[in-house]
Amino acid sequence: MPVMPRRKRKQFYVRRKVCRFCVDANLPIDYKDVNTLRQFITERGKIIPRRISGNCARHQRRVTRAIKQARLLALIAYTPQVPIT
Amino acid sequence: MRRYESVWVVNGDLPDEEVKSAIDKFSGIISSQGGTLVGLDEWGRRKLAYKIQGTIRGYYVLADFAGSSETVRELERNYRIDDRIIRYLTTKKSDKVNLEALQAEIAAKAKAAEPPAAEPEAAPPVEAAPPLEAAAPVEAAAPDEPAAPAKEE
Repeated sequence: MPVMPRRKRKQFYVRRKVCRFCVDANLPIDYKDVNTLRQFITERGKIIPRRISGNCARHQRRVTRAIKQARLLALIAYTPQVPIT
Repeated sequence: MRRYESVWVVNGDLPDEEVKSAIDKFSGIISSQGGTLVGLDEWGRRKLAYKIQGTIRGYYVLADFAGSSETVRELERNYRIDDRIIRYLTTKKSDKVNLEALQAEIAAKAKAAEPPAAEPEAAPPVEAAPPLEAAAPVEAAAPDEPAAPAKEE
């Protein structure tokens, strides 16, 4: 059997994520700003980890805090509504 | 004196006069407990993200004030007593308050009372998007931000 050339390994591009809040210092993190916070939660209402969101540790802590505050005030759901059957 | 921000949610199923009296009561508590009310922002009736005490609507009120820890303690004690309040949250915005600057701010607020205060919540809620994709529009929108408030005035 002829030796098949080994398939090239898939290249992984590690794109360096930068913290959005560090890039733009004016971008506030606030529990009242639901639209911004929505970008950091999944459809299931979970907080997106730092590994994926690319936030730096400091800003991730603030985002997390803001999300939890917004949840308390019922601005953001803890979990999506289950359709009534 | 510290600067605080307090949001309280009045049960949205109550008639308007009940809601009104709840707002007056709590803004009154702030003033009577040595606090200085800087701004009172009513977001109005909003749909709650989940049911609270069987209701799905809440009337949100945001009070921006300066006061002491005593003010906050008394305010929160009353929130807990009052059945009309379904949720509340008080956050500290700064530790030191310059009273003169505060008075100037109140005066400025009173002057600008005619146009309603621009709220970031005004925009319709955006569906949860992957943060990487979402990053681009936000960055693009950033330069517009300083221009936007100027336009409204």
